[in-house]
Amino acid sequence: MLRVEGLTKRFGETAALDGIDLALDSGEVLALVGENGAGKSTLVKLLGGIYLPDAGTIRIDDRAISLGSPLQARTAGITVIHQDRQLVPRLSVTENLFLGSPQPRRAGLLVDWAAMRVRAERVLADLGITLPVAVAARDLPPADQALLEIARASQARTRILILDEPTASLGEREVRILFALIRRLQAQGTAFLYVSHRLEEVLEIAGEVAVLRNGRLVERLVTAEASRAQLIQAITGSGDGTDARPAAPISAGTARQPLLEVRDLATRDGAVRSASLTLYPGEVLGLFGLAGAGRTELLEALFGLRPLAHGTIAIKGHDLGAPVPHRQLRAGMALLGEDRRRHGLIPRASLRANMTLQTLKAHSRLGLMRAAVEARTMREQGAALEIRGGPGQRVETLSGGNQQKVLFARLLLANPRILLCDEPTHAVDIGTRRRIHALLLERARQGCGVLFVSSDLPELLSVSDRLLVMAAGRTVATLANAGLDAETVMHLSYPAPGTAAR
Amino acid sequence: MRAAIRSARLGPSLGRLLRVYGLLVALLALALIFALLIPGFATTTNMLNVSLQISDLVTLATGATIIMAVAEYDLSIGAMAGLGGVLAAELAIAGLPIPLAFALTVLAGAAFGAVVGAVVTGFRVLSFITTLAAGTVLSGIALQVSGGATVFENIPASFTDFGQGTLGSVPDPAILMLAVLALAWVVLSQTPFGRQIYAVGGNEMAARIAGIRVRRIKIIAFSSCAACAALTGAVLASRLGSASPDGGGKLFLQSYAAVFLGMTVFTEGVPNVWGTLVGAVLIGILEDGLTMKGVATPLQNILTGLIIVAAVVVQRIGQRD
Repeated sequence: MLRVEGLTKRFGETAALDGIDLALDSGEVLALVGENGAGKSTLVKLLGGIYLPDAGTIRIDDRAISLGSPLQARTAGITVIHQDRQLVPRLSVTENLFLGSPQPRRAGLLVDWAAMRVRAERVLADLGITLPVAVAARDLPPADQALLEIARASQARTRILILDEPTASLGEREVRILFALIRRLQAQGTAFLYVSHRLEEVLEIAGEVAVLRNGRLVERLVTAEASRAQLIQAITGSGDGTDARPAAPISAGTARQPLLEVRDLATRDGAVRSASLTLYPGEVLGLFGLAGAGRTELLEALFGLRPLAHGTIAIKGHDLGAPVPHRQLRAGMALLGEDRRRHGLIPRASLRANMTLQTLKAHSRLGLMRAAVEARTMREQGAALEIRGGPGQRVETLSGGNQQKVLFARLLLANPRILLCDEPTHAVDIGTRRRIHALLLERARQGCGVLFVSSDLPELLSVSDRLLVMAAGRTVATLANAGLDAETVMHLSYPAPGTAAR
Repeated sequence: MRAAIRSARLGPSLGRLLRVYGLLVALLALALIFALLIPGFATTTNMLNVSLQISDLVTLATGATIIMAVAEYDLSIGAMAGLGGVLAAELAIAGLPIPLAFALTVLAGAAFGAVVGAVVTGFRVLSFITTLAAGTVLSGIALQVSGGATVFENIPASFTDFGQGTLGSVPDPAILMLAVLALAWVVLSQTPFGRQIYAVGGNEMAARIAGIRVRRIKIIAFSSCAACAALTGAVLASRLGSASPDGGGKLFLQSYAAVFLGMTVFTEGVPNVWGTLVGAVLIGILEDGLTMKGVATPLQNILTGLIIVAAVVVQRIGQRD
């Protein structure tokens, strides 16, 4: 029914998807797996009409179609159910269910609510699910919201349903209900593309699994004949990214007092369930996890941006109580956030004001900024990091790589002992990336501790002294990075069966 | 050391120049037209008169600039100006020395602003609504204190010394206005505190991560803004020799108009002191010229409103290149 040929999508120099061929027949459940950045979401967005492909064709029933908008995709019979719910929170289950479809009217004008509710109950019963039809969508538990979205899609004559990590917020019991719904729709001829990190679920619900790696479709396996180990091997590519860094001088580290000690940390929102770690002076501690594992959330919790449910954070042996950003900074901890625009840049302020934001005291005297001192900092940092941009230029007009360098300079100027770096090399060119790696290693060797988050496993293996792995909100292992390979880390990163959230 | 910081572009394009200085050009053009059409417009006397006329607006708008720089609103500044006038007059009637009456009025404004700021930041409520409500409270207090009518009886003669006085031939309120402007400019653009203000307004999350105590900064901004408003009211009362509890109504809207107009010049999209001054002067000249031309108040209001909308729209169109 759905035929995709040679589908390609580029972002600048890199191909996010490179010549994907894919076929999906009605009544089939095809799983899509791959590492972070392998191209899963790009493919989903192409099929959902959010991106236009650079090359390749998408056919439905042998007719080439163009998916220029989510509406066009929906008209073509493709519905994407995203991780974040797309319901109207204040409207009832009934209203959400029939959103966008014609409603029964009384006297051709007023909506016939009674008739609508009856119809909603019938539709839900047909699908084998029970939902309170008069309750507002926002008052439903997450699992029921997912079911409601799928039920709505089934109403809209959807032929291909794309589920993006549908079980991310579901417990075991809800997963059962979801699977029953998928099977029922499958029997009625709906085709499913099931994107997930949870391999056990993939092996259970899907007929076949397509594996993406670096933007290419590398393998298509029949689940009945595949094992979890085989899948992981296909996902990582055996022998890939195993160039472990040269033996790291951490021997001295363990004897010293840790810079940072975290015990059984959990956030109130449940994104981090139980995290423990120890960061020693002189080391780069890599933190790896799949999307949704809670890496970013852990850093935010450490820095005081997310309320804690329990756990302790000790800096140089002192438990500081509930973290607050400006106190963490004073204690020597600094954060380079995941999202430059959200966590770092003051877009309309100058490069100068952005760079010295964290070191205003050092750049002022008696409450006045010292232009000469600032100018010297600009010259020094500009030269050291090769920043292209004038001191007075608005930071929003710089290129992404230069923006990142400005934020890096801001961070390093404050001389933190503990550096929390969340995807510091995200979307920067190779040169900048190397420079950032070198700077972080240099700081570490000077006695700082670096907690380095990246979703790029080969990168982590090349910069980390030790590697901490998170899965489903928990820290699951700390590994010395000596002879460590991607496959071992991947095995740990996939949440073990039975540890599904909630 | 080969590539130090250098500019990515050679220079600003003509379009950008026009956009950034468009309001300034419009102001000069307007002044030129009035000068040609209206005898007596381009005289020192008239310009000094304009400086006196806009002094209240500029002082109030400076406060609005500060609060908008932290990306919040204070819609109670009109009511605060009204209360400021009444308070200063009543304190003077009660026999306090005039400078002390002024100082207490400004302090009361600062304190009230700090409380509003604490409520907005502490409970994370919208400043838009909170300050609208605070304004209602303030006008209530002003009515209570003034007994519901304009205060003019028993005001000591010395009360008007400042508002109606001059230094050389420059009106005192105009000098105060310049002092307030200069102070605000120094604080906003030459101090660490100003950097923090703009950081909070530009990206609150990033400011927090950089260690800035966002709550504290915002409370100070609310407090400064309310202090400016109270001062405006006191000076206005001193200038008129009477205090009306609803004295700040028109000024309130005009001051935000000045800030918005000012955001189209110098540092585009960012509230800035000199931009606010340009905006306020434009509004002041417009009113002055129209009055001299004999245009009636209703039509004046309509024209002023339309011209402000036009200025903002033109600036917006300019952004789309």
